[in-house]
Amino acid sequence: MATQTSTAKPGAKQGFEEFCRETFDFKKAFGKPEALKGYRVLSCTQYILGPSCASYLAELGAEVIKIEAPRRGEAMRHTTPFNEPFLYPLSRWVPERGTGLGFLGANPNEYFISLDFHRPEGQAILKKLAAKSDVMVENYRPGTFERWGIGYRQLKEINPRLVYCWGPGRVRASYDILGQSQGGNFGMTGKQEFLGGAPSKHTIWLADYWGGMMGAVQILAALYWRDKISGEGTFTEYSQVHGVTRQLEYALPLYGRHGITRERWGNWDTQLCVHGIIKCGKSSYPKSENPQESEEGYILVSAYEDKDFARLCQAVGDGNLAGKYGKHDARVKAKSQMEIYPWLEKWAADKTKEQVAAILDKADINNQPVWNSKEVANHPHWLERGAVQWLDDPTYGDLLHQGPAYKMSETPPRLKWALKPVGADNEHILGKLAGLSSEDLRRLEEQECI
Amino acid sequence: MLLICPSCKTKNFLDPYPFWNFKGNTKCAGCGKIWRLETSVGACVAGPDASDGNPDLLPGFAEKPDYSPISGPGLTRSAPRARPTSVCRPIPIERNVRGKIVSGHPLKKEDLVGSRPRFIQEGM
Repeated sequence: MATQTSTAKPGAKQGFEEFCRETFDFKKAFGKPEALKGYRVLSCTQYILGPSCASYLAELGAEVIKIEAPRRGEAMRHTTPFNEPFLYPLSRWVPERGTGLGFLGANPNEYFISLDFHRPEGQAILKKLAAKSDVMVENYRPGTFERWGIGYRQLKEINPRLVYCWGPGRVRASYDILGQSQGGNFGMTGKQEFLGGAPSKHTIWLADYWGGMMGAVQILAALYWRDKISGEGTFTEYSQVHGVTRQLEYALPLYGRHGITRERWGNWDTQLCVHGIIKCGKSSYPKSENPQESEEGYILVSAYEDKDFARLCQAVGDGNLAGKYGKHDARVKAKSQMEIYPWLEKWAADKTKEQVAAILDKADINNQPVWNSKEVANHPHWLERGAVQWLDDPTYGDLLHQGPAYKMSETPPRLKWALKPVGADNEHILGKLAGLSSEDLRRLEEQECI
Repeated sequence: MLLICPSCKTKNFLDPYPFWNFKGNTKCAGCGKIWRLETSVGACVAGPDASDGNPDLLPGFAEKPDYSPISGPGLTRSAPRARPTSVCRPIPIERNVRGKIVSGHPLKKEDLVGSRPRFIQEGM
């Protein structure tokens, strides 16, 4: 965290933290080159999985062209959160409507054009764009783009160097929640059944954003193969469901070896104790009207090694459990955990999560208060690293936006703008790449083809 | 999925979740006509055919052919609510949580310069 002190050594010009702070300063990114500048990507994508894949490339400097349905754009602009559009205009044709905030984060730095893939003229324009592009990303249902004559096999005839990335479902469109459920994640997430729990879904779209990143890795590998080795494009496919399965850790080896189905254990841990989340009885925001803030706090406590548990017991001021559960084998049993965690929560009942953290810090016990989005958004370290940025967006004004989570010294990723209205770059992109005149553009616009 | 009403050309947007595998009646939010249709894994496989009776499910939202929105009780389905303050309608704002300008309210065509809000381009 930001409080780490300098570790300057004799002879070094600066300490390591100062070196990193200066090297990775996200505010200096615009003075440095971009790793993927010169690569052009077509993003015929919707919702999060496909869009996030293309946007990761845009953060690294690729010219990403997002192609949406004319005027109303793709579905994600309208769906989250709960049909409450917040950023206006949706497009120059529909200024009284807006784009929902769920669209942000998956489409930064992109150029936005509109095109109706159903129409032969729209398909012809897409082919012109594909002929001049390095990558195309789409996540329509299986065979849809082939049916329209603009799938991989057709576009390969036009541009054999094209890297074509497709993220489908086999018999249905894939959504994050379907992928997480089918991939095996929900089955082991959530509280124990005998404590009133059930399988639990992740509120955030982990499978979407993780899947997008995997798609971007595939694309970079395919570009390397093309540019350094073969000269040929690649057809890549990514399963959102199997991407979830890829994250199931030891659950599958465990089943393969012993036939044991991995169980849910909620906010505790089946292998380690103490290693879980406890409830603190006092709210950090007792006067807030927002239930997400006024609820009691929670904190992660990790003290599973015997010596750590002994210090935890000392900090809590109870020697009985230190003796009874001094050895991890005794602590980790289910019945033991059902005694230990309530004991910790009883101790924390008159404290906020910050007060518990202060006591545990003093005792050198690993801990981390569970932070809400307000706390993350305002944390100076997040803001200093650019993981969260106040962005002066050229279209929508002052927006709080996630920045890239990683740093690069020579070719840093960067955030240029959050999004644009549907079709905002029609003239610029379609004129430049598809050779359309202003008369063509006007006619296609009147016909709602763009 | 989109149901363009054969009668009045209203665009009725059918939410993919409830209409994913569906067989029954829905109602055009524009003219109120009942249409029977069948969907399978998110695609329409039968209909829409004119029908009568009550709708089994309403569209999520709808637009007239001139893109003006249609919504309201009995016309469209209300969206799910996660909190009591969610009214499932846009909450217009002009400034964000730190008091700076954001384009957070409905605009008119004359409010734009190209695709950008005039007050962003030229300042308030």
